[in-house]
Amino acid sequence: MAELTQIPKTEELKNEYEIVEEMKNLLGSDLLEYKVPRVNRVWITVPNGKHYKAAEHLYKKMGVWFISTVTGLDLKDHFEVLFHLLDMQRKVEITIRVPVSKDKPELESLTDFYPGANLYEREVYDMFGIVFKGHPNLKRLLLAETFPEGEHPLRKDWTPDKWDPKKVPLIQRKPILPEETSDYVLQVGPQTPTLKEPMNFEVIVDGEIVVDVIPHIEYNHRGLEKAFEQRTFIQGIYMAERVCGICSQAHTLPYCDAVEQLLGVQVPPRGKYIRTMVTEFNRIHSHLLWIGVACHLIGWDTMFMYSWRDREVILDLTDLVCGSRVTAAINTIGGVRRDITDEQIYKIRKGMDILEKRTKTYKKIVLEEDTLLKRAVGVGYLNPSYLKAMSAVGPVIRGSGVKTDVRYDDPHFGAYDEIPFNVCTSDMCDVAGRLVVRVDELIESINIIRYILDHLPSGEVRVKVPRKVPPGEAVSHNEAPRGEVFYYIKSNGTDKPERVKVITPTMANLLPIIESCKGHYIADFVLNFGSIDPCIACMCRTTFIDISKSKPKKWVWTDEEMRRYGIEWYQNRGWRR
Amino acid sequence: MVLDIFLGILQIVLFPGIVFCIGLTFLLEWIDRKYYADLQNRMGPLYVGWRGILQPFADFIKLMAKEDITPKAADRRLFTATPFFSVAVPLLALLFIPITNVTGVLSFQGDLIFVLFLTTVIAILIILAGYSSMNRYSSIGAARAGLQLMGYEIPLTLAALTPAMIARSLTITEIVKYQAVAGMSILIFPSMIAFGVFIITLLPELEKIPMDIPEAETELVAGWQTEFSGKKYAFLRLSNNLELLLGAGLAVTLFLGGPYGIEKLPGLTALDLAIQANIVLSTVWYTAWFLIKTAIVVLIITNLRALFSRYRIDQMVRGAWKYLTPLMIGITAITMLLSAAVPGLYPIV
Repeated sequence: MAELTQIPKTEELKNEYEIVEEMKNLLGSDLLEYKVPRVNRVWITVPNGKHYKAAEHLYKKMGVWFISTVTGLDLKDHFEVLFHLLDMQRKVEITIRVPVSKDKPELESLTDFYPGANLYEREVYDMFGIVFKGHPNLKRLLLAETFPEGEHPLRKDWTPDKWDPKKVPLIQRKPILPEETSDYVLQVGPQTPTLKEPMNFEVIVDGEIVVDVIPHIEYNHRGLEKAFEQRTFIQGIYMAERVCGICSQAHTLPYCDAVEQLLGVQVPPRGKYIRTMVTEFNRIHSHLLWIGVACHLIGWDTMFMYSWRDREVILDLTDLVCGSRVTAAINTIGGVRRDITDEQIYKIRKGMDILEKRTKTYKKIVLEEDTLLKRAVGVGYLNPSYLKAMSAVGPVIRGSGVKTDVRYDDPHFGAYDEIPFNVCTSDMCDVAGRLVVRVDELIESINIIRYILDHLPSGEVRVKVPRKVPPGEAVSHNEAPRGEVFYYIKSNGTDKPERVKVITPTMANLLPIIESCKGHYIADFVLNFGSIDPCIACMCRTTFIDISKSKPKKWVWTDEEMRRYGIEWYQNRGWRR
Repeated sequence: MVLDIFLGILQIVLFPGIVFCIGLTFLLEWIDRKYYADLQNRMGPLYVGWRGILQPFADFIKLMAKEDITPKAADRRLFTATPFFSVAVPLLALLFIPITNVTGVLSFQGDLIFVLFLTTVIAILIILAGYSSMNRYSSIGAARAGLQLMGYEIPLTLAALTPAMIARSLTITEIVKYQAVAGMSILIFPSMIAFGVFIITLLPELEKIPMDIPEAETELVAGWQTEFSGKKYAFLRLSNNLELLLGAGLAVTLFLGGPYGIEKLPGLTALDLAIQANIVLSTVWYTAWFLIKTAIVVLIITNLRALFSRYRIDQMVRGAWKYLTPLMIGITAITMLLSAAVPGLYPIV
């Protein structure tokens, strides 16, 4: 038994070694290897077939109910499947590594205890062709259903030239309903006022009642995980930022954290605090956006306009600190790019005062406005135990009273281990509960930002890091505004990663939310999907080139000038406020 | 004789008939949009004309120039006919509304019933339009429109009949004349509650938030209107504007004293006589007052539209049957009892 422990057994790592001991007792010589590379991390390797037993023990005896994701790896001579479980009691992220042979890529599915692994296993099947025995619905997930059999693009030997797009038939789905039924299919998406993002739901309705919902999420597969492998670690930050426009900061933080783990560097405290602050900016901006969109979905456009107006405050602050409004681009490997000045701190404080006042107004509205409550209370009921089984994340599971938050369960990715904050929950279990949780989190985020400004350490904001990353693997995650964002990075000693795995919160929440739509009205269906936000890119600086002069003059406008221009433009047209 | 016919045609076509009403609807739409934008911290229309006053007209022209598509599966004849009829029917009803005079362009004994009947026809046209386009969103929208109709029709009709019962006449002109003597019916006891119910039931009739359930944008794309494009869609929008004018006009006529202004207040008899003596002055005076009152009703509707979120169809129908219908039946009974038991309460004119 090879022991790869990098950190010696200490009192601090009690929980980690407790799990290792349990596994040793359970599996005996079947525990091929284990390592505890740092606090909160346990890696165990078991042969194919024994992972089921290990997971059963973890689920039934040790109360590990949350599965982050399933990662597939192609290691030239064999595949590896990694199951990432998060133990919320002991605050440990457990990774079960299962080698799978290439000749017979099969292993047992873990959906028996972790129904939430459904989509993750489908994704691994889709990308690697690894078959999960006992999976209820093993079909392609990210690629179109009509993608040729046996083509799995994340395998290392797969090249695009092998695949001729002309031979792929057009997507022609089979009719899903028998002819003699009175039910019919309502298409929601990929282009509809309900969902601004390319995603399609086949909603089977009987009159006004939703009978079933079949999601199709294959419209926007951009091959980001493959693209990560072809870029250096520094370039990867930009890739991570563009996974999602709204949670850009939430993605770069775990990415950088994972690479820093591989490099073995510590971010200076000031850098950590600034990172955390921008993450909270990100959360405020996303939640304000969501409140607006949710109200728009039930036809209350006035609230939409107001919350989006107030969102400008936080966007301007992000701009002030990071240099751009939405894509923060402040994280880099080893720290942050920019320091903040006292003037900026003063402006941030003022902005927080405005936001706190507005947020309290919103909370009052959410709790009192009658038509809103009529549409939100009791709609999309989700049982907490069901959500736990499905490994739901973010405000969805907290809206059902389950107290999970990656910031709390594994706080070492940012400065959250030093900052006091509450995990907001609501026991309403419905759309109103999710609304309340999000509004509470806004206030909590404002408090976190204030704490950070009060306790900002002095010193450097970043450390220099080498371009080449030593071989190894690391996982990191972050509580994005919508839930857990998970990163797995494997490096091979060069300046490019061997594999980057990303999982986003929507994937985890998709199945539970679909379940909660069944048997309810069509009108409630849209509000249930309210947490899927549109991403809006916004330019705030414009470059002008004046070609009428003999010498072309070029200048860049700041947003102050832009705003003044806008005000004057309206005033010249006789419109004054 | 020939002159009379000519004048009659002029009245129907130009003023205060079709052209004037359509122009007025564009004005009301502009007021609605501008006020709605103001409530939402926005600018609203800005470009076309003074503060964008011509924007609704520009929208109409633009839509007329757009490509007009008829789906293959649609019932072609019905699909083409419904937009036309949905403009024609409210226009016909508008001819009964007194705008420039105490009498509408058309008038006969008991015409209030006819106008109320026409409002129901509009709802039925919506159902037909939805079903004829053979789209799933449209079908659901049409089904919702039908359900809504079942919910709001009875309270709407009873609310409109309350001032008629007080005035003891089913003729619009008589109701207006009665209000000139006895005061606006919004100031008379059970009729003021009927006014509130009338405004609430106008919301589903006009498909305004919180009762825009048949066309709920985020649920059903555009509901029963989904497949209409180009000229047909322009006509449907115009039809909706005309309904807004008709609804507001009916509210003004039945509850707010019609086109009469301040001249009916005690002590202003000289002004009243002067206005009645000059036909040009009276036309301008009455039209102006009608416009002001209609705009007030439109502003009330816009305000409601900005304040609430959309109800679900079951909530709307349940609310209508649980509260509005019993309330209106009660008010009808009270009105009948009062007019029988207290002889001097509603004076006979």
